[in-house]
Amino acid sequence: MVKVFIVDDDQALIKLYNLMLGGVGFEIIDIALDGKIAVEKYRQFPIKPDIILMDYRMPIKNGIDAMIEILQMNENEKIVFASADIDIREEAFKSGACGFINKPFGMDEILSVIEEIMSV
Amino acid sequence: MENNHSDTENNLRVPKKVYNNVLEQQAILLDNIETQIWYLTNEITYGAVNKSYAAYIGFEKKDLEGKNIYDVRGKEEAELCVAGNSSVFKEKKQIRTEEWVTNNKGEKRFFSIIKTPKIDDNGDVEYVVCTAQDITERKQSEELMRKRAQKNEILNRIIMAGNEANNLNVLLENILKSTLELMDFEGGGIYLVDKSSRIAKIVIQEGLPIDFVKQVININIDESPYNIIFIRGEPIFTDNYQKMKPERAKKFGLYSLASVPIIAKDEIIGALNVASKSRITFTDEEKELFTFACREMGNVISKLQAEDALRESEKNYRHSFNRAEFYKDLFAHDMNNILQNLKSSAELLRLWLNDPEKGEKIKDLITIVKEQIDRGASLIANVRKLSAIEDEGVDERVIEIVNILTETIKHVKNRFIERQIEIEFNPPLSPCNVKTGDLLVDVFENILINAIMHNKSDVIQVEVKLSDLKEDNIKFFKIEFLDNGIGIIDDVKEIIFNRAYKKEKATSGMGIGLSLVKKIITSYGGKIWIENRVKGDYTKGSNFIVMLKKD
Repeated sequence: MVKVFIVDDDQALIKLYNLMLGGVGFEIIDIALDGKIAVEKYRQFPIKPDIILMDYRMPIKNGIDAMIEILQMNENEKIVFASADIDIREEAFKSGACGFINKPFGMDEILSVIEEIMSV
Repeated sequence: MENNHSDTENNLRVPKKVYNNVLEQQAILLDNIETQIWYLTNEITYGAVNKSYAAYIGFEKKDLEGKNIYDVRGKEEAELCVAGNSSVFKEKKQIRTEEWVTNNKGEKRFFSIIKTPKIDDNGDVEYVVCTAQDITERKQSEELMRKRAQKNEILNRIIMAGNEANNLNVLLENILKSTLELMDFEGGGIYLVDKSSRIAKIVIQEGLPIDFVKQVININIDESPYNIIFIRGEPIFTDNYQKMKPERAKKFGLYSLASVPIIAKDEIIGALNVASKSRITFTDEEKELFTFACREMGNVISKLQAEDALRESEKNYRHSFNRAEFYKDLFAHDMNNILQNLKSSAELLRLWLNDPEKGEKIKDLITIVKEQIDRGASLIANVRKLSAIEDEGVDERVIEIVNILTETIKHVKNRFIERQIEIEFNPPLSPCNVKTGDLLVDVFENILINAIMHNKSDVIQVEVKLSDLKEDNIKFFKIEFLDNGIGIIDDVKEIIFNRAYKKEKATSGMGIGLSLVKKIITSYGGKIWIENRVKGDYTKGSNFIVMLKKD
């Protein structure tokens, strides 16, 4: 099972991620509502997730800043951005993101991106 | 002997002839030059004079020679002349003066006069030789240059004041100081006109008696005599103020006043007033300089006002632009999030519609859909309201908050009918009136909705408390909303209400709803902040605290 860590401040979307991914071979190991908590939780994970689904615009710490800190802990971590902010795409890739998907995305889209990244 | 006598006579005759020739030549010479020359045998008596001098005074040479000065000159000029003559006879030294002298036609010319004593063997003054050179044109040129230099100096000072000042008050202060200094007046002030109220007000003053200023600080520009200055645009120079208003002049120690309009682009924008505690009259030159200075002031003030207006306009434009960008960005971002949730919900619903095992999950999805639609509607409404408050401000009236709270609680419970919600509110029996407005409903609604949305408990509990509070001698109502939600960490408490235009998009609060809440509360002169429901433990829920001024 692919272990997924979800970082997003939209609680309705977190519920939907659970419903979307839970039934198709993904295990949601944890969620974080902002970048700061995401970094703290990641540090504490005994087993790191296979992939992180990261939002960009969140309270306290944004997704890119959180990603940079996580990659400093583990440069091989796979982080996919799922964001409503289309203009941070380039910056996300420059900072180390493996994938970027714009909201609103369909289920097929996100599954396809995750599969592609996991196959690399 | 005879021969000797004849020789002597011959010797005497030759020098005498030559002597007479020389005298004749001298006389011709002296009578043909423009320089005026005259001799004085004593302080008041003319000796020989040349034609030029005699003609100027209006006499024939022979009629002046031997005459008393007082008989041929005006009394004042004669006295001046005799005073100078006496000085030469007494001190036995040359004097040089420059003075105006009136001719026979009553015209005045300016002369450079030198009076040189001829000292005899006994050391006494035998006679005085006087020369006078007409330097009227030179004097006038010098005067013109001096006036130009003074005008340039004033102009430079005013321009410098304009260049150095970055706001109107500093500009006016600099201009006033420079003008008073250059023109050597003790005190003055500058009025600026407010056309809408028809009042001119002193905006800056220096060196004027405070009690005097108090009496003239605001003047009606339509009243006489002020309308002369502010409507007709004509200066008023009040010479001899002591004669005109003896009591007032005595009280404030003022001898003369002037009020000169400041005109910019043909519009009277104010006036410069100066006062003197020593001078009784204004010279024509001073009047001209004041008028000139005020015209230049008008140009500089007008330029700064235009620059100020432009800066303000740029600021407003930037603010409007930032606001438009902010709302565009906010709307796009939040709307995309809402659409994401709707899209995902729709896809899952389509997937599971015919799956009987997914019944509960389908219910969850429908709840999510409903919430997202409400969220979208709230987003639109809140953006509209925030924008309206920023454009128009808030309207205020007396509101009874218990009613508002009770109705809002009912409405919110109905909106989230699928959730188990307990909202406890025990209002006081007496009316609780505040001076706010209809937007208070949005405040309470947003706070309650947040308490419900950010709550994972099976039973959502919110306690609403209403109490009195006094702060800085102002009476408030304190309304607390204590929930058992997921809580808010301290870092987020700091920024939760912020959604500033200039802020980087990188982080966000908890939604525009709370930005609206804060905007409304602060517009009503109230306060809002967040604490933990249980002190020291944010995980047990939050306490939103609102303070509203009592009516």
